[in-house]
Amino acid sequence: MQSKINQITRHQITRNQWVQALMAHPPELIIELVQRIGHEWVISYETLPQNGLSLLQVQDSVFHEPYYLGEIPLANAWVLLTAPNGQSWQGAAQVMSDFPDLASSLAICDAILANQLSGWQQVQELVEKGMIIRQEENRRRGAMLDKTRVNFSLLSQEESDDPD
Amino acid sequence: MIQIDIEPIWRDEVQQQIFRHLLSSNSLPGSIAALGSYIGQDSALMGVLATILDNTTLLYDRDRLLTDRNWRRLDVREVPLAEANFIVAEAVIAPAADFIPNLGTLSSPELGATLILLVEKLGAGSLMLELTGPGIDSQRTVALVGCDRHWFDLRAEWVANFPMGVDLILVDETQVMFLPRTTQIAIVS
Repeated sequence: MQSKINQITRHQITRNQWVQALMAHPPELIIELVQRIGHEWVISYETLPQNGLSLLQVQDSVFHEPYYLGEIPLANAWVLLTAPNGQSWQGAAQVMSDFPDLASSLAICDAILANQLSGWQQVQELVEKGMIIRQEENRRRGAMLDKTRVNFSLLSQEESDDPD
Repeated sequence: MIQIDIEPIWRDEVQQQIFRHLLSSNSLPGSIAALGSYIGQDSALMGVLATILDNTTLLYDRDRLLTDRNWRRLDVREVPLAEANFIVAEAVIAPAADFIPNLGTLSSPELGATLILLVEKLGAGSLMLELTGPGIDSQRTVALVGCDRHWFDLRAEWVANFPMGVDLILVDETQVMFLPRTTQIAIVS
């Protein structure tokens, strides 16, 4: 695992990948981490946190017309961390989950890591481990996709070979 | 549970309490509701806005009374005067000649805007209004400070073609009063 982490840190994980990486872990782990390291600041919301259902619109591949695939749970949070000396930092997150406090916790992690505040190394470690989990998932899904891929070019070849 | 600060006016239970007061004030035009015990450090203006606006409403803030953070919290869209469902202004600054809010239409009078005017003080002062109409037993007299009289001249024009017109909400630092379009207003002094 450590060598994989070293490999990943060599390739900088960008800020827009942090939430995706952290979401690879159980929500309780993220919330518990924030409870542990987030007490140094007064935390407030910049916008009201929201959660609910969102309609996911995609385009069909035949007529290229938009249609609604279905509803997805969606939550967002934008937080402000203020230190006792008045200095403040912001963080935000939007996630496809309605787990209570998860979006807020991820937003706090975002602020901590983006500004390298106290405890950022622990967040960084979770991000790196999460990225490995995500990469492994992607590799597995890629392999499954390759195995189920259908080569339609062979079908058209057979049709043209058919004397009828 | 993560401890995250959120001012009282943004909490559901407080907004429900404020809403009950607004409902009661609206049904008894000219009665003054005290919101001080609900709004914490915020103003009654923000308490009212937080309670009645959401991301489907359109707001015009003539005098820039709202901060950027207020706008973000309200999650409301800023629009020009003519399109606004809700209009916020300082009452002491007279409306310009071209200040014409949405009055609704005969078939949809509910589209008429609601004007929320920030006055200096409700319930005391030299400007006396005599109110009559639905929700008022005989008549009610209210006093206020920090409101230009021209608002009431224009308001009389706006509600002349009832049911079209505008509804007024007057707020000071901690109190709120409704003057719906059904109320007849006469300036006594």
